[in-house]
Amino acid sequence: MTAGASFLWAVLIGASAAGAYQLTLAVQRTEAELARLDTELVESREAIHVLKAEWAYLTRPERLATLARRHLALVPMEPGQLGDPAALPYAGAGAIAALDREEAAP
Amino acid sequence: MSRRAPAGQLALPIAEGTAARPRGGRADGMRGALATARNRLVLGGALFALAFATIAVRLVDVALVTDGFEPRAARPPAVSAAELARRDIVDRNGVLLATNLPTATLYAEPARVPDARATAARLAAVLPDLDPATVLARLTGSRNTVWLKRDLTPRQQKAVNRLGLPGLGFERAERRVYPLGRLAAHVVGYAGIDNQGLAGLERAFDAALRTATPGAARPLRLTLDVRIQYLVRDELARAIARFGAKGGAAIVMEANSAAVRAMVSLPDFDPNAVGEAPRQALFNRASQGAYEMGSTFKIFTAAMSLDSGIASLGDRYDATRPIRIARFVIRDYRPENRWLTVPEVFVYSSNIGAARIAVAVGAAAQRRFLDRLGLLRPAAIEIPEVARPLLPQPWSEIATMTVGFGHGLAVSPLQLTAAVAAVVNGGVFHRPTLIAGTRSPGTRVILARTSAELRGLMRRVVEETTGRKAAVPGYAIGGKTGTAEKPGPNGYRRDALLSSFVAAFPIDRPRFVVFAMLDEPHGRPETLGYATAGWTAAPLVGRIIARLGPLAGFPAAAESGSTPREGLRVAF
Repeated sequence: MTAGASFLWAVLIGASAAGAYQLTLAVQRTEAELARLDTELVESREAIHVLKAEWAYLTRPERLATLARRHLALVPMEPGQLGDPAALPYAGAGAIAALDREEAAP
Repeated sequence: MSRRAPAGQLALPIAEGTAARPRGGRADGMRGALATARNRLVLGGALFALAFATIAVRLVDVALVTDGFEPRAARPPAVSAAELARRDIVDRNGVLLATNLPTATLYAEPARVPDARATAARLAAVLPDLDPATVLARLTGSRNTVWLKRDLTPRQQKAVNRLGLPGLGFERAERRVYPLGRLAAHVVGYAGIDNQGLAGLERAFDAALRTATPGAARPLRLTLDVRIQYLVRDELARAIARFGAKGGAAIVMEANSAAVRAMVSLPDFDPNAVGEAPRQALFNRASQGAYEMGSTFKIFTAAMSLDSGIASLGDRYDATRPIRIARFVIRDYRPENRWLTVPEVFVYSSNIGAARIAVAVGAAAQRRFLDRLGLLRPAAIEIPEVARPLLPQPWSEIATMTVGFGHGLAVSPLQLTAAVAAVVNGGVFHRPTLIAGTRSPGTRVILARTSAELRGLMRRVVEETTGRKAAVPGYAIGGKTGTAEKPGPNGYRRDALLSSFVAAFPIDRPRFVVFAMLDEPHGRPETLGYATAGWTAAPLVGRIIARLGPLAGFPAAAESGSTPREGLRVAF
């Protein structure tokens, strides 16, 4: 009886000690991971900030204009190139019906 | 309970043992000794129980209840985008105009550098702009810490780290960087090496930009549009080069809110290297310069006479011959030599007519009107570089006449643009602004009807007379030219002109007011030698609108008379 109780207690103590040890280890590992992630976060944020500045520098209109002139066959848009669909002459419902017939015809 | 249990267990065998003992004379002594032993055991047991209980309680306490005094994770002092010493400045679309970049400063502790010569040589190999001799001199000096190089890029820092040289270290620093360089230099301004705003918005919002509240470091957003700013600067620079002008200024303003979409002054400077800029490049002609604007002021003369009812569109004024008053002669650039109606005075830009209209309105009413348009006080815009207008002293009858056609009163281009915006937008004056989200309530200065009449007059200037070169096919533009002779030591100089043009677009319902000014342009063969506004500033504004229109999404109206070709017919 006494021996049984003592054994039980010993087992319980051993188990809880092992549990506590495992828990502590896990917490330590998690905390190390957290610290690493924190550092990484700070570094990433800083990198994003620097990259944003670099992006602004590389996409400054002056440079884009030069690059576009050199590499693209595009020129600045003229007013006449922009239109309003409503300004196009509307041929009327009859024309649509005619088109439909044309398509339907073999 | 735990305290009593061991005692009870212990008591039991002792009691049994006591009962089993034979009775005898020593029994009393035995009993006394046993009682003592029992008491001691109980006491010891109690102490142990107490100790275990304490440990148990503390175990639960540590494991479950308290968090302890130690921080859970070692958070490094976060130097992130949110915690930089100065907030960003962005344009209306979020394009970065000014930002703080982390940099590193390389230093050395000579006492800990084992081989100064090798260190200097290897550093110079990685950082080419470092002179090995200077580095060696510093490393062998007697000081504890020596600075070797400022503002290392992350790449350079990595390269130095890779050398693995002892005795070197980095100190974090920050640097204000303007990625777009000159583009909006006069508006954004610049900050000094200690992150202190010294000019432009950097200076005006210095305190606000410094309060980098962690997590809430929102950038300062401007009304400026980098794309418009670029095209305006591009066209202005081209016109200045073409006409050999000393400089120029241009402004694009929203007509209905006086929000500045672009403000350019040339020559300008690189805010990343302010020290190298010549002094006159720091001067913002658009807001800091006060100029006699010339005929663009006839917009205000016409508006005030029509609005007050003193003149109507049909009234005629005597412009048959120059006005001689005191020792001045007011004459027309292209005299019509007849009586002119108010629209004719405006469209032919008659100084004589404008002077007569101004006198008819009167000095007091003129002054009141110009004041309401913000022309007699420094422009209430956010940047500190604003001109104090130069008023005629005293505001005599001659002054009334000359101010009527834009002489004798010097204002900044910004003031003029804001005032014209009020005249064309239906008659409501707004304070010009550079900061997104700020909109002044606005005060009515003229009737909507007068505003419509003025728009009609400005349209005629572009269609019929001096503003013809500002016309853009497909766009309805209205404007007014202004050519002023610059004042010199001996009166006005015929050879030094200030040519400006102010336009509203689209003129029937203005969205933008565009102003451009050239300082001392020179005539060219293709302009027949003329350097007046109609030949220099008007085509410049036309070019700006031709590029601004498509960007702002204005389709060109079909040319009158041109019917769409049959091939363009589309059935939906």
